Amino acid sequence: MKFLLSMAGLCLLLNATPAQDVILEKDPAIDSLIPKRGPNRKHFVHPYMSFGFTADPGEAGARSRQGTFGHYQFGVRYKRRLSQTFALGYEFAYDVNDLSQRQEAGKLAPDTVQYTRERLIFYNGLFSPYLRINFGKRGNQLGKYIDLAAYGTYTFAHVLFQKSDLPDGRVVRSRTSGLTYFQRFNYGATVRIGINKLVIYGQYRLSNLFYANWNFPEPARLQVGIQFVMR
Amino acid sequence: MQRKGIAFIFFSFIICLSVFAQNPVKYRIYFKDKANQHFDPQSYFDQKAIERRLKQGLPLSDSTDYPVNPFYLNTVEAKVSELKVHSRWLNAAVVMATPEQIADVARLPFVAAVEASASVYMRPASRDEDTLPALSADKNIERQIARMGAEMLQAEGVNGNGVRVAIFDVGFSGADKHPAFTHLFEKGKIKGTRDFVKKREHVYEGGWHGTAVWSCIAGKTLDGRWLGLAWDAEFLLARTELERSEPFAEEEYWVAAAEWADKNGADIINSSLGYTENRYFPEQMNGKTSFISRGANMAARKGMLVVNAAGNEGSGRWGIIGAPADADSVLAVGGVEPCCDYHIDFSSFGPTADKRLKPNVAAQGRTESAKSSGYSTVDGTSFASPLMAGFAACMWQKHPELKSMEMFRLLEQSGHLYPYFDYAHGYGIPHASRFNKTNTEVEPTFDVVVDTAMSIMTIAIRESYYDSTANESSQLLYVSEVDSKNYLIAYRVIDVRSLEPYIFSYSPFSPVSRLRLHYKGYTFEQPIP
Repeated sequence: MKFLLSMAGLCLLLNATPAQDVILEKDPAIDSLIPKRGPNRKHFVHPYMSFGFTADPGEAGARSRQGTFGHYQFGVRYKRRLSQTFALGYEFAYDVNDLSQRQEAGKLAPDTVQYTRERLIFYNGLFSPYLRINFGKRGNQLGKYIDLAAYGTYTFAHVLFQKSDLPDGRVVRSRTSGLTYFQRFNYGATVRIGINKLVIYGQYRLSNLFYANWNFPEPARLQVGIQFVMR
Repeated sequence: MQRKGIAFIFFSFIICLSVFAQNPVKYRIYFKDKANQHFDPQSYFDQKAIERRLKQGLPLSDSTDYPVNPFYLNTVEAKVSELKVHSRWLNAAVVMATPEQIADVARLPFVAAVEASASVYMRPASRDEDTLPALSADKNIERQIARMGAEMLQAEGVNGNGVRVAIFDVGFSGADKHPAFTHLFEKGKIKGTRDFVKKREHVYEGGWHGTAVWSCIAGKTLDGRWLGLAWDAEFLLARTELERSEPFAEEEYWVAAAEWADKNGADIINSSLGYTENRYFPEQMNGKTSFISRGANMAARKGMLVVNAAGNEGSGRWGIIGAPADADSVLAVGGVEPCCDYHIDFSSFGPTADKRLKPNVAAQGRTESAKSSGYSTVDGTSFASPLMAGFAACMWQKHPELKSMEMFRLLEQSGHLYPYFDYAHGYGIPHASRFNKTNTEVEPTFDVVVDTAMSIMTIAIRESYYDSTANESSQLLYVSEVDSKNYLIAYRVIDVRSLEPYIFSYSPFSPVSRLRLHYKGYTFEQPIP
């Protein structure tokens, strides 16, 4: 009996045929290992998406339309927990900044013509280190926090979009790129206030968009928006 | 430009700080003593509470029953934004305070410790209904109490009479007008109600969750069938949470409700909620860290049986039981499929962080229940827990001499898997016929053959215990790999679909010291050579 059972078992093992159907299998020794990665663990990496609008008008002569959505980001953020209260981190993002310019008397930049519509669109790569301050006791959650960040962007493409509705009913649209008066490197500061996966941010550009020798007034510097942490 | 930028950063930071830091947040304040306090158990406790203490050989009172010093409470209340609740068991007060206020409180000479507390949502251990293939409502009703021995108990006239059950939940919407509970209101079986969130007596609003939970202890259908086993028990109904929208849903209300239940003579507490990821880490599920688990253990020390849902995180990221199911004196109840004695996918797994067995037992995780109006099929260990509480009430009616922890052990021992256990089913589903029975002679249902040369074990089901016509998942072989400390290294459940033997390959170098197996009532341990 013993021999037959052993042989039967051996044959089944060699054939790699499951003798029976395992419908639940758990390995608590592995399951109970404490992970190093998580929202309130030592390391945390997550993607995020942002949607923001222009919040300040900019300087006279280059005023932007306030309240128009035109700031989009898709990025990946790394957080290194230092304590229950403090964390440091950095992020990389694809950043699109679309400024819709007001067409009004006294307009100076990028030219003095008043179009039906005019947009300055910048496609940037963004890098941003930040300091995070957490508030309150929490488990493995992001919790409530403030981020203070510096950022730098490199504009790898930009477009000046202008549209004119002519008196005879025709519409003229132009898209211009490779403009020499835009700086490619910009920098600024970001403040974020977050509760778990929902973040409100303000991003303020400290550098000038135009090279100084052009003497252009500056368009909007501040974008405010909402950000979704994805995990 | 630079000035504007600096102003932006500065003001943003100040606004953020004012949003988070200056708003009052919740703290627990522990006091050093209960100096100059007096306590008269005869006037404080309900007669049922005194009877419970006498029956279980407990002193009528101890220092934990003494009230918190009112001078301490008044002094603290004057210094904080709000005094929310206090606990005599833990000699603590829960307050809302700013950092400046709490620093001031911490300097008081009678304050032993101050502890920050998170304000997060609790999770009622129920879930939406559309995830599992449904059995008919009739089948659910038939099985949810039948599998614990309803027929036998009904024949004996056992229905929880004389046992007082406290239910803590989000509210009992519509229960006061629901036909499922008419018999209880007519007989005056509701001995007390308390809404700890709104500080009032009315509890019949706030959510259907509590209504459904209550019905799994004592509800009945329109055609007179019972949904739970203890339809003649007495009840204390406490609302300790607001469902979903409550920003300060708190463990402290639970502890306050437990003290209230103790005072009012509860024998059993059923609570179908748990705190998990929002507030804690898995490694903190050790029964000692959370406020609610400490309170639950204290409730057990007062002679009450605390029955709690294991939780519905089994298929989620958290995965394991929450608090207070992690407390060692809390009977954590997991869920099984209505069709069979097999873990329902969402039921949270054990063990605790310190490797104690959880869940302790299991009951049906999909039930027919009363809702705010009408009846519905509901999923969740929320409803397994009251099924178990109803069963415990019946057992206590039959065996009033039992102490609460004796009841706890006997419930475990009446599980269909006992002495086998795993971290999905505990000891399995208790049955009235197995309760307090010492007959352990069971004929072997399978044979184990060890081949040391091949380092394999062959487990063969005996032909007389195999039914080729049985439904899927109805003949289950439970297998655990156990180490020298009785901790499960791994475990599995096998659906026996033929007489082909199950092969287990072992390594002499692994920490597994023995294989524990269970099939159709027979448990066997095979040491690893």
